[in-house]
Amino acid sequence: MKTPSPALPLSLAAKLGLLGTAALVGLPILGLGLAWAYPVGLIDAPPIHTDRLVEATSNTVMLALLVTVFALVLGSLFAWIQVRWTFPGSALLTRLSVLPLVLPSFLLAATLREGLAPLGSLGELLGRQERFDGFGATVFVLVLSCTPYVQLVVSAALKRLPRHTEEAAQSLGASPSRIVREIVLPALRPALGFAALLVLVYAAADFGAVAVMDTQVLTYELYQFAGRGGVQAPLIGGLLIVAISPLVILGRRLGGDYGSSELSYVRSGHTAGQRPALWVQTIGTALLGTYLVFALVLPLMLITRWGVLIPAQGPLIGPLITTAVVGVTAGLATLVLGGFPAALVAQSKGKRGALETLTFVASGVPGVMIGFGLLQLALRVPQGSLRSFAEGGAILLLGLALRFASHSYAALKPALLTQSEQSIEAARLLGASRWRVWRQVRGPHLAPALASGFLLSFVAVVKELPITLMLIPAGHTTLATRIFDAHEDAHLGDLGVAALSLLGMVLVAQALLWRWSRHER
Amino acid sequence: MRCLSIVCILAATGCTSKDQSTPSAAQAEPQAAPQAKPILTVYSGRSALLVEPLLKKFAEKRGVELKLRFDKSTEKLANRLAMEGDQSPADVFFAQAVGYLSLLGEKGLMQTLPKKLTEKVPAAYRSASNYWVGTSGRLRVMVYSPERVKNPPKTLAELADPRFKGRVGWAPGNASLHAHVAALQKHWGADKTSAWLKAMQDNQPVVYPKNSPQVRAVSSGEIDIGWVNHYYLHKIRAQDTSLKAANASFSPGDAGNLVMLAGIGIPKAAKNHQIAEELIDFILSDEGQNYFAQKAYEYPAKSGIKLHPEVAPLDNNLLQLPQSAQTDIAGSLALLRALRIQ
Amino acid sequence: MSANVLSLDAVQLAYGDTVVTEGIDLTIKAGEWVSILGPSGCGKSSILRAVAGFMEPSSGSIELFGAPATAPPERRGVGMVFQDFALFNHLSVRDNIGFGLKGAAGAEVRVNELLKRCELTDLADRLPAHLSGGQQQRVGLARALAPRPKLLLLDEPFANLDADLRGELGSWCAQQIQSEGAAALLVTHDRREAMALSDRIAIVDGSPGRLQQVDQTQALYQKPNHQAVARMTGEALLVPARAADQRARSAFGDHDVLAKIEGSVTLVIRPEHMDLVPDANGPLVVDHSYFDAQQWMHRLRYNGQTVTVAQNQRLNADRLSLTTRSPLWAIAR
Repeated sequence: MKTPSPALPLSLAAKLGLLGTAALVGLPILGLGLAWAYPVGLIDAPPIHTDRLVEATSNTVMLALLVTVFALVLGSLFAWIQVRWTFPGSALLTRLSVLPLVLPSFLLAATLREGLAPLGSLGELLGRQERFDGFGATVFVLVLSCTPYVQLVVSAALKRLPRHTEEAAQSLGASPSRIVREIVLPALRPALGFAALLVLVYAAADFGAVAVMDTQVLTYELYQFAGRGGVQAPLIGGLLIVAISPLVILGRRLGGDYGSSELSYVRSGHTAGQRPALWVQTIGTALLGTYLVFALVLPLMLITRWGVLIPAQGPLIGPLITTAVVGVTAGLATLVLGGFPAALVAQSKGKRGALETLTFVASGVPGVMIGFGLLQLALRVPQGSLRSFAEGGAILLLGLALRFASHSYAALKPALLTQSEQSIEAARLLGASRWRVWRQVRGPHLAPALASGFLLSFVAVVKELPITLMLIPAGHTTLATRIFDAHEDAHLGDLGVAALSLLGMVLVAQALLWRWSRHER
Repeated sequence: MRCLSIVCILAATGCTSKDQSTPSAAQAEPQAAPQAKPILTVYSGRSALLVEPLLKKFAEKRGVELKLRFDKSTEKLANRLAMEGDQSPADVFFAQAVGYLSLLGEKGLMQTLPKKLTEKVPAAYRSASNYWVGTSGRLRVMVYSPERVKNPPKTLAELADPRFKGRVGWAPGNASLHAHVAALQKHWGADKTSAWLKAMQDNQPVVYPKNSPQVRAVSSGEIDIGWVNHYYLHKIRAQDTSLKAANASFSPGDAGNLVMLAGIGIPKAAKNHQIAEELIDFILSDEGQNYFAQKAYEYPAKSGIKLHPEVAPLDNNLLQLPQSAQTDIAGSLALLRALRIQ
Repeated sequence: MSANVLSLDAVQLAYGDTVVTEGIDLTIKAGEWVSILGPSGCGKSSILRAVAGFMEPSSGSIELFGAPATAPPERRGVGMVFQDFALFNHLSVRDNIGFGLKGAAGAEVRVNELLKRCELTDLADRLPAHLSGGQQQRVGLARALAPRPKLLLLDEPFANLDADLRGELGSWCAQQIQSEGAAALLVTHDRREAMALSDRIAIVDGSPGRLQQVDQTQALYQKPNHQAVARMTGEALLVPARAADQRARSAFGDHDVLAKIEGSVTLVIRPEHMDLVPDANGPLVVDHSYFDAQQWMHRLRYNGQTVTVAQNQRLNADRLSLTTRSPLWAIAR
């Protein structure tokens, strides 16, 4: 029997918000359906080649799987080095190896394609003869891009592992390798499953890197066919949903309820890292070093060279302001869209698994698909104030909020779950009004989660490409679209300057985020 | 404090998204507030970085507010215009290839332009049915690496030679290429064009989203030859003098030696066609044409405008084709799509 | 050499530059149960970790089964039971218990034997998450005993259990360990636990922790060599006095003293030595009296100390005076 919650408005608002959320999630699908039912095109639509669709689908799946396997191995290795080992340089290198996540995948792809070309900076050194593009190159780039996420998740899990179970195993005579095999890996399974899900969805939904590398996958195909009329595009969009949803559901099952339930741990005493054998140190350092060269050093070098040496063609101030505005407003919108499901799930003490899965599926849908669906919907709204409102930024915000709702959801749900009803009851017995309860009890408890949810979304929004590309109001550019366009136009100066600004913005936000989450812990 | 901010979040979406649209004054309704400038909406398939400064200059002079919708694919923009129909807010359509304007005209979506505008350019640069007027010409060339390719192809047909397998680049999404293929269909006929395109496909050409990356690609060693418009080399070299690439023309009278036109027209649905005409007039003026010659390295439509010193004047090497040859975009796209190139 | 299972000689333990314990001299014979009793934070768990091989002593030596302890933890042949049970959450009870047997011959028989002895047969296929705290600790003990270690280390194993369960489980553990013939080293801060289970108790106190006294329980109680030992082994009033010739004079008057000791001393007055009488001007203040199933408990305050004394009747008074009725133990100052 649940004691009636004192904050009744929250419950009602949560239910309304839920309805609204469901409606909003359906909008891109509605747009997809409209594009399918009423295809419009000036020129005859391209014929549908099923073998091309099949190839694109299999490429998407293979890309996702390959990237996941490699990123899991590499990221777990880096996490292990970070948490379990200590040797000269290990701390610095494993801190640096997380940094590449500030680089959007399309930026990484653009710099690597240029840098590893036969006459590129590194390409020449390595004596490369071939172009650096296509499926293999895309796998490479996405692995570099995803490894930091795996490292973050796995290192956090490793830190949380109760040391005593490993010591117990030791006292029972288990060798170090047996301990890793039979104790550590099974305990890491939820974290590994969660990381696998992250990477699977990221790689399957990626647009920027695959576009730069010209890989034939569903997301890039959708983008190319969007706006050409015919049913090719909505068909691909449907395929995308069908391909990715089971991945998300499977991944959720693998990883379980990871991330939201383990809130208290028995922190065993002192956990200084061991010093492994010299050959292990050498390999570890070499691996980290190589990774950093490709994922961090080369891209930054090129971006800086381009930004500084090649004159930019267009002004930077417009995209800079637009990016900041979009980032902030979309970040806030994400808090709303992710906050309501979180509140509802927290109210039922974490029982509404289906709602949670829906939130994650909505966020697993590729940006290209969301952008396409919403655009098609907006195009069919008759000219007028609603249409202007939609194209003036509403669908952009909606699209971004849908895409990144899971960020704020994941940040808010634990905070809402751990909100002790007893502390609220105590406050009310001491005479606090409802507003005061919000201000001085609920609010401060939620504030760090709100801040980190906002910052997570801000960073994701600012780095996002396909939704912004398709839905940004006419005449506006963001830093991300400027980088992408500049790459297509080979205006490397603009690319460099915009990239440097974007990285600056992301670094600031990410640093704030890390500071906040350390306070919280 | 916190509750206030949380309540405000709910209102934020509505508030700020409206604010977002104010800078570009998205309200398309005619009744603007008093004192507000008229809004000129331009749909451009030409690069925003290229045309925006010129358009802004006009907007300042004339006292109008400019709303620019840009898309790198003229086809998608044309599709959008068609979908919007008579509700379209577009006042001007600036296309990378005039063929799209002809197509839109044939579907009854474009106005005919007054003689005073179209007569500003030679006959070769204006539409036979007066749906559009050309603003500048772009010569189709090869960009190549003199170090790696000692004997660049002399003819377009030779470009499909197997010795260049995997070393040639093109941009099948580019409007100028569509226009060139349309011209080939008229000049060579459908069969020869089809055969040539198939041979090119067999050579595993590297696909680029636009023309300019091909110049970079030649310099960085990705490809040896790119099939582009002439001015990209100049533009990129102006930014980066370390560029290692050069232009090569096809032999005189060859099917590769064509000038493709970029052009401009006024959609039937235009609300401000008076101002639109003034814009076209501006673009075709000495000031506008000098801009395309000096800043874009292109061949101005209007006669008597000085070319950029780095650009060689057009000579009699060009293949002389009727201007209608490059306007059958629909046919060109149909062929490209049948061959799965596009 | 000797029948010593464990021998700690002047062991000092440190984390980095911080010394947590020093001066630990301790031996344990085969089959003996020794408890290390001390307050939290005096580094007693570190002693266990050093014996198990999870940390090296910064000085001093450890000998296991007559030889210097140099092997890594997995080869020391020492079993360990943890405060948080440290069960393998993904393995069933049966697999947990059998973990240290590595599928050796007779492993299944041994596991079944332990399951029966620990009354876990019905739970054999359950996962730890579905067990109560008491059941988990039984599994922990069975698991540690399975490989037949000669020495078992117990790190506050009952601290996470309900109070009433502690006593039960404690004595049950002692039985199992005894029937295996293993020696045990228990670390605890709970005096009653240490006293109920141990043959000998080592009192560790201070920061860094130092070994104060090691002896049989009764000896520690009756003859503490340090105030800390006196306090840790039971209720006591520690009163300064001057002693001479087996008599001592304190603020409470004169007392008989057990040993020949001269000069300034601290008298250890246990509740059973006390004769309490209501006295309006008495030096002992009665803070609180309550009935505790058979007796009346009185919490008394004197000079900053608190002592709880049981009486058959309730002493209805705010202040009391005290005389002693048997010879007292005195600690030299």
